[in-house]
Amino acid sequence: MTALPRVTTADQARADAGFHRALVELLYQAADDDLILAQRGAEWLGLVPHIEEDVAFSSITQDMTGHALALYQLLEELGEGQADHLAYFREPSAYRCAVLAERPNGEGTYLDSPRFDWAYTVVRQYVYQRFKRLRLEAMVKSRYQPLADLAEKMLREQFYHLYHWEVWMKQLTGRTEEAQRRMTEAWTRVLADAPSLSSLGPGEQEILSSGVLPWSLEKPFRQALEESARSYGLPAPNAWTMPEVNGRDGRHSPALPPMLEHMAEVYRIAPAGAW
Amino acid sequence: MSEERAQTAATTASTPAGGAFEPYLVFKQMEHRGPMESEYTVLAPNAEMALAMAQENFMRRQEAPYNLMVVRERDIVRLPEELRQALVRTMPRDYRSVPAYAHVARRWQELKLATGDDAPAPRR
Repeated sequence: MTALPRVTTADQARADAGFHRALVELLYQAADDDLILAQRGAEWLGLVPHIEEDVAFSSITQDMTGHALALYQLLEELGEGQADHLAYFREPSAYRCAVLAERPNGEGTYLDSPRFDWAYTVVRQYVYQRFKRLRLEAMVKSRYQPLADLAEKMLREQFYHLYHWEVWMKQLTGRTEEAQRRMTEAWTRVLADAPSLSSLGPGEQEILSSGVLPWSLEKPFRQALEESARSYGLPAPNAWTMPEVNGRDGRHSPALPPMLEHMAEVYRIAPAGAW
Repeated sequence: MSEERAQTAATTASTPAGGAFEPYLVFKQMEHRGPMESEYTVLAPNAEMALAMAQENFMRRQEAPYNLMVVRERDIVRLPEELRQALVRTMPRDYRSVPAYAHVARRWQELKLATGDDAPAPRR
């Protein structure tokens, strides 16, 4: 394969329609994953079973929102509109987050009898960060230089996000029977949605052939999950079936619209306001 | 240590790892071989969790340190109250401070000169 030349500026990217389309698609996927899962994390504020973890989790959540913002800023440069607007003012069908990111934390809502599931949260965050590591490593090799540069910075910060959830995985597996049962249940639920993460959506071919991403993420992700299953004594992932909706094509679970409405409530009161 | 306290410590020490949450002291080191500065405590069920919590709680706003370390609070051995009188100093110990003996070298030199010890060796 002949190496395609690097694309170093937003203007260059905009001049190549196919490249631009693929790049925008991938950026929405990555930004929306971080934003939406960070919002699910934010819903835990004050409810986490351990006070230091409350601080730690919120801090990671803020970092993830920061990563989303940086990616929306790349989209802004590419002519997609203002970053804040992209985060808070799109229709649910314009979001490209994986369905795993939008699943509720458990029963109830933040404001009304939250009976959230900590095991599910730990496993979901862990699996997401495991995946995100692979996506960032691939992004570092992106043909789009501004993305490669950003990914390298994010990767350094993401190191301890993954480390944090690895610690929790280790804590809650192989201990008591109840913990093992809950973790296995959570693992099974998260695995069912895992293919949505590595899916690149309908634009997959273009994202790969244009060099926006240098390789597909599915194979390394599946390998990583197999390793995780071994090291935490959890069932190995077998079937790799795409969930009914996966999010990457704009079709989402019923959980997303009310979540967006709540998340964007303040912004939508006065989009021009400075907060 | 009083008997009662010693017993309490022994009971806690037998708690299996990963059991109850306990205070861990967090220390930071700003550079390699720098002093270990006490920061604050975190509650954790074991050292691994304490380190993870310390990292995120510590890194939140402050300048990034070179390293962090944690010590379970009950693993720190302190002088019990009844032995703390060993720390009391009542008599002057000026002679142990540098200003108190810095003149000795000069005085030594003066004495050597006065006794001619420092004179060149006599010719034969």
